[in-house]
Amino acid sequence: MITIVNENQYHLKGDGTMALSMMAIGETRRISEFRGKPEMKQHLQNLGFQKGAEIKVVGENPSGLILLIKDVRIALNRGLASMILVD
Amino acid sequence: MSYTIALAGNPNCGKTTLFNELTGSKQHVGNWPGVTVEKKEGLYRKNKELNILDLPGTYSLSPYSAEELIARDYIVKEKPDVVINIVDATSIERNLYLTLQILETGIKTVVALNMMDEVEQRGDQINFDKLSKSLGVKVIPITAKSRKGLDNLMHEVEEVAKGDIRPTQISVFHGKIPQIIAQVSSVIQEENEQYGNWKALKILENDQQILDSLKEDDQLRVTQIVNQAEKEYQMDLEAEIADQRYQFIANITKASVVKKSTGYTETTSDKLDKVLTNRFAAIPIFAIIMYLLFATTFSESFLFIEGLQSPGVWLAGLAETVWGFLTGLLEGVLVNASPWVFSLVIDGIMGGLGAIVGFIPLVLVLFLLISFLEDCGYMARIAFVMDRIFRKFGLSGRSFIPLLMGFGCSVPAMTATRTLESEKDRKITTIITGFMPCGAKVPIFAMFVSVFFADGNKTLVTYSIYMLSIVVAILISLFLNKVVYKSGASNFIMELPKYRIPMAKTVFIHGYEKIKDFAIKAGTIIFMSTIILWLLSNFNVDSFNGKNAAASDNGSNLAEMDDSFLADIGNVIAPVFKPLGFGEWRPTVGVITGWIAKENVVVTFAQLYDDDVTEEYLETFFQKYTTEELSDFGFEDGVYDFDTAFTIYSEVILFEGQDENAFHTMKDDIKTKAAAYAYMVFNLLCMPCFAAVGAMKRELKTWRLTGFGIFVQMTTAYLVSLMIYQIGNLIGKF
Repeated sequence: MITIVNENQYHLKGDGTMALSMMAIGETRRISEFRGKPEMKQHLQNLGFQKGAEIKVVGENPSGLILLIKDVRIALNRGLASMILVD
Repeated sequence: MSYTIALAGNPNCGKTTLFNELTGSKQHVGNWPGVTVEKKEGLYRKNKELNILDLPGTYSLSPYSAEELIARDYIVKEKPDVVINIVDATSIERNLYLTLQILETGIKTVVALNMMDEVEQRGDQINFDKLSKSLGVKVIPITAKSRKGLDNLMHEVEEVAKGDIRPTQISVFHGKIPQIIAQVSSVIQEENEQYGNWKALKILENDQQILDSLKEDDQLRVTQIVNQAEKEYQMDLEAEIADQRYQFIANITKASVVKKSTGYTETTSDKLDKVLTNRFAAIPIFAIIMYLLFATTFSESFLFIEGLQSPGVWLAGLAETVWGFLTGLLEGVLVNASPWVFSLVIDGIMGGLGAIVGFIPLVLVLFLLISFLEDCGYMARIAFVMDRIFRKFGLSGRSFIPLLMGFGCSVPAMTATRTLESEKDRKITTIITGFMPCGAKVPIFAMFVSVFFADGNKTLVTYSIYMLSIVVAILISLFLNKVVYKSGASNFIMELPKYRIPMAKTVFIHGYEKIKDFAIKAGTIIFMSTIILWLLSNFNVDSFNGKNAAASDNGSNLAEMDDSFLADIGNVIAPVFKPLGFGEWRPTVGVITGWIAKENVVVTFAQLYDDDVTEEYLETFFQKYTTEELSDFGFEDGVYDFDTAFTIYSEVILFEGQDENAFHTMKDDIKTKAAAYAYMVFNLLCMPCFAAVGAMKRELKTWRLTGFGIFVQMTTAYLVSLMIYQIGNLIGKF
């Protein structure tokens, strides 16, 4: 099943969960959920984005975010970041 | 006895460096993830029994891109004797994810813990014995770039290859997972239990390829098991498996890795990224780097110093001189040969290839610089920064690199689309790369601008052509996205490798690999096409019935070009171009020869419009050069016949790109500036040369899709040129 997520849909769910795209530079949180295509979910897992993984935002620009995850810097666009939920 | 040793690891783990050091082969290290596309082999320098094979970089054995599939299939199906799994010790947790998946296949494995120098620099400590026990295979620390630990590694690999040391089974999974694996495995019934379990695990991970390989009723049964388990235990099996792997990794690294500082420390790379990917600074810095890139390649006034040639231009001049010298030598040798042999070798082959000799150095310099940008890590950042812009017209920032290479030569540029993850992006980027003003198209613009726009701002006209190519590429990309593929931009996610100063050797190897395709093209397609072109332009029906020989004063069968087969072909097609303003046979022939190789357009024009270039004209023309320059062109003291002088003349103007006083007869065929501009645009946008079409076919796979790509290019070229000519005429001035 494919869940299409609007960029602004998952900012806050009230229980402290929010979209990765809303994180500020320097902030560290844990991944809780991914809303998106299964292939992308798998690719994210391969890159270290599994549930509970610690993620830190180290950079940001109009293209998207630079994250530090498992000692690796990964750049991703905002649309994708908004599909990743963090606690 | 010979053993196959496969190198497997994440992109950027130093795998290619290790391969180079082990085999001593000419190979390259890139920072662009997944740069190793093809299967590369070499013998271990110190023991020729070991055949080493470099697999594409991969993050997992559940393949995401086509390249990753190569690695997976090789390990599982071809079964190398030993897999050396290279692990970047500076990001050990992420890298071990692939390690676990390799171990799951049951293949003999040795883990090479690379980049130990950086680990030591950080002050971190790794207990190799503990790690080795936890993984069930040998773990050897190495630093590939300084060759540290390689002997030790290969000694271990040899032992494992020759002995019967299988990896010790480790239990990664817990809870319900082992039980479900066993259930699925019993359905599949593989003779080899290990392999059966591996397949079962992949099915739990929703691996379509493995599922499809099963018999139909087995497929149904295993799908049922998986669905039932997911429902019963309320879990997403795929995510659960990934979780458990990472849990296992977290546990073993906690036990065997001691980090000096656990928190985040800002590295030099982070500091550089703060500037180079900065919201405001990124684009201006990028623009400056692009300017330097093109100026170093093409500029006649390098670094704004009037008359200072850039390295690219200087090398091009040198190549021209050498080629002129060789042509002169051959002329001396062939002086007594029959007229047609002389014409074939000197005008056909040397003249035809001479046209490309001038810009091979330009393409080489451009590609060396691009390789440098890739190898130092900046290209990944450009892709990221450009993503914001490319996203607007339906592509990802990754498409930028092939398009940039398209300014040099489309052939390697189209090959570079392989690094794109989205198939749709690959297809669209391949097609629009054909619009780029490649090195071979530049002489066309130079010639036309100097003849038709001598009174205007020449730089502005050339610049507008470049801008037009980009605008058209954007519009066509939008069109293909919206209308043909009906989808938007795919998501962008890319590892940003650490910045590093690349070794000169590496950049040269990398640059060489890019230009290799181009050199092969020069040696084969262009060589063949120059001969065909020569045949068509020097023969007609009368060549074969003796009429030409009878009419000529030296008994030659050759025909004048105006009267050749080529002219006949041009005349048939010319009416098609009437609405574009250049529906005459000579410009048409230019377009056709351009398909063989774009640089031919100028050569063809030089040969077809030589009415102005009389003996007297040439004499005046060469008077402006110094004796030294003249001898550079290939003139020694003495009297020269018209043909020789003309050949040298056409090489000189090709290289300088202009001769304002000649080729006024061009204006008989191409009457207005609008028509001239339309002609440049048509050559810019229409089907690229045949070598590039070959590259297109390689990337697009089918002739159907390649045909579609050519159709898009041709239609675009025709419509845009039509608009330019018609609107230009309406305005009356241009």
